[in-house]
Amino acid sequence: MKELSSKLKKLIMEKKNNYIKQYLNKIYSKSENGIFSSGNSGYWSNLSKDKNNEFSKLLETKDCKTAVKSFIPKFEEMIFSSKREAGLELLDHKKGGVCIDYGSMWGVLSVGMAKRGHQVIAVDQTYDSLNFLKTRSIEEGLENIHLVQDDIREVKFKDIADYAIVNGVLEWIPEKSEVIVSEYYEKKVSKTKSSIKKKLLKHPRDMQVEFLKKVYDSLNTGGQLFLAIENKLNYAYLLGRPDPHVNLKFTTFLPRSISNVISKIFRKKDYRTYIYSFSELKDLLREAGFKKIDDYCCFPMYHFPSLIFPNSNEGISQYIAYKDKNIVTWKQKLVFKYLEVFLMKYLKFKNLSPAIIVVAKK
Amino acid sequence: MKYIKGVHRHGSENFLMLLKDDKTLETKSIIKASTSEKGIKSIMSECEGIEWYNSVSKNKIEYTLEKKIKTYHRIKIEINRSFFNVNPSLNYLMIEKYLDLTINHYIQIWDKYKGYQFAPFHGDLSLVGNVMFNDKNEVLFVDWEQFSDNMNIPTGLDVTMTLMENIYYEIIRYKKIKKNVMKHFVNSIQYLNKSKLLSRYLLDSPAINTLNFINSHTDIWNGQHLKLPVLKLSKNVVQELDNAISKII
Repeated sequence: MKELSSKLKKLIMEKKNNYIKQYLNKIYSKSENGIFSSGNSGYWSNLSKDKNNEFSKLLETKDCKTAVKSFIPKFEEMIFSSKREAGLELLDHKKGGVCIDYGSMWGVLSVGMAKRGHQVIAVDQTYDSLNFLKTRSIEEGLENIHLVQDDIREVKFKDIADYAIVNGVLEWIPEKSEVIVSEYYEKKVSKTKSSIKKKLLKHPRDMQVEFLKKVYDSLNTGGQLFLAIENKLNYAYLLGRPDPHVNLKFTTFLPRSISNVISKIFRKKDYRTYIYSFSELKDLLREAGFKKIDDYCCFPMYHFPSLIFPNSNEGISQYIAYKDKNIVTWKQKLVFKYLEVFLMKYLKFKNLSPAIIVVAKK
Repeated sequence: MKYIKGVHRHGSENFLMLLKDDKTLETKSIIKASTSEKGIKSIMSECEGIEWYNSVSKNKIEYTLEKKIKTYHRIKIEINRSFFNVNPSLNYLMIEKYLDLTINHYIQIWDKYKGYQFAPFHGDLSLVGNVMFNDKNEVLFVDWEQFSDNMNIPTGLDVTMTLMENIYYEIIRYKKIKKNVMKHFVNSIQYLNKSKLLSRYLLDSPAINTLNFINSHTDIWNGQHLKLPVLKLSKNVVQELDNAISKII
């Protein structure tokens, strides 16, 4: 009986797998090394191109974990820790469905969704990231991850997905140049060459809405979007913590025109990595077509969450102090522990939470 | 209202969610989920523990294994709302009654193992959360993540751990063990022994042997043994407890 059940499960899985492959074959004519491709490529990575090349070579001789540990140890937790999947628990996983992970990068959430029994289409513009995810999924026996190299602003999925993941991606949508995160954060002038002329670029917000409309279109009726992003009114930004994308103080919440001037002066580039407050983000999603939108406060940040509760009076009443290993010095403790407890537990300033998670339904 | 209260807490690899009533904010159910090997193992232990407990206890724990695939497990446990936890800020003497109820419930549930040197094991019968009570003085043991029934764990270890944990809190409060507290500790160990639910491995120096057992079998706690307050007891206190016991038993 047990054998029959596992055979049946395998059969169902194969059928679902083939269905997705056929669907992707219709859209993407090219497929190389098991990765579907539109011909649209780009570059967004934590590693430089040279480093990524070296890393890819290392992956040919070593398993993923060993390669990461030896070559990019500081990213080990970011790539492998299942702690990062916590927010996915807000979704309903009772039935296996189809999930599109937009801007999957190294695929921590693609893996999380695949482990939850869903067929995952991981879309990213950076070949090296997808190649890593391919190696990892083979090593972990996850046959339900399908890889697509494409510009997520240009994808043509329609009514296929039960889930869409947009994790730390929305803010990067308006930035069409090649991004090496550390350089983008630190350098005054981006060394990477933009292939798109600035004049042709639309307003960042419009680009984000356009992208969210594409995400909406890709979902089946009742499909769920999981979106995670920094809150522009994060109390730490108000206190002077630099913008997490351009490393400038106060740009997250100042009027965009002023942030743009600051960015042009200090970074010699436009300010385009827009992040939002709770209400602004909900407006954006409504504009894209989403109707039922549940928003959550996330602590200390959506990358490694410890606490996620609804953005409501009842929700904020559930705030409890939590351990954050990044808080070490007394100064950090004072600001990011005791002040946070005071703001959230006693003043109940939920709109100043560090990050926002949204689960929205089509 | 659904919210995520814990992510990999105390070294576990589980996501802990609470479902609360929107108006009263009373917890209706607890959901635990994991995609990691270690986390899945603890969810399976929880299911086995609840099944074992339900087979002998009058008050049952309702649960549903909502999803069980090789790479993901998710369990939903209903909260029996007639039961409550004791206030953790109460001192030892104020919770004495609850400690007695806990020991009596242990004796009742483990009845089949009287005279056995080894018995199934809950792993964390902490009054702070895992032992619940109702108005009729009935007891419910919950949170079976560390359950083990491989019969190599000394009978009575759950109780010695519970008693020692509360002595640890007492030390934090008063920097010493009060006479009445020591008396209760000794009487409880004696009572457990008379009830034939104290393994001979614990009979001689129960405090130090409890700690020795935990330290040499950390795998039982699935990497979470460091959360156990009992491990924070100083050598002197442990010695003091065992000296008091050796005078009686």
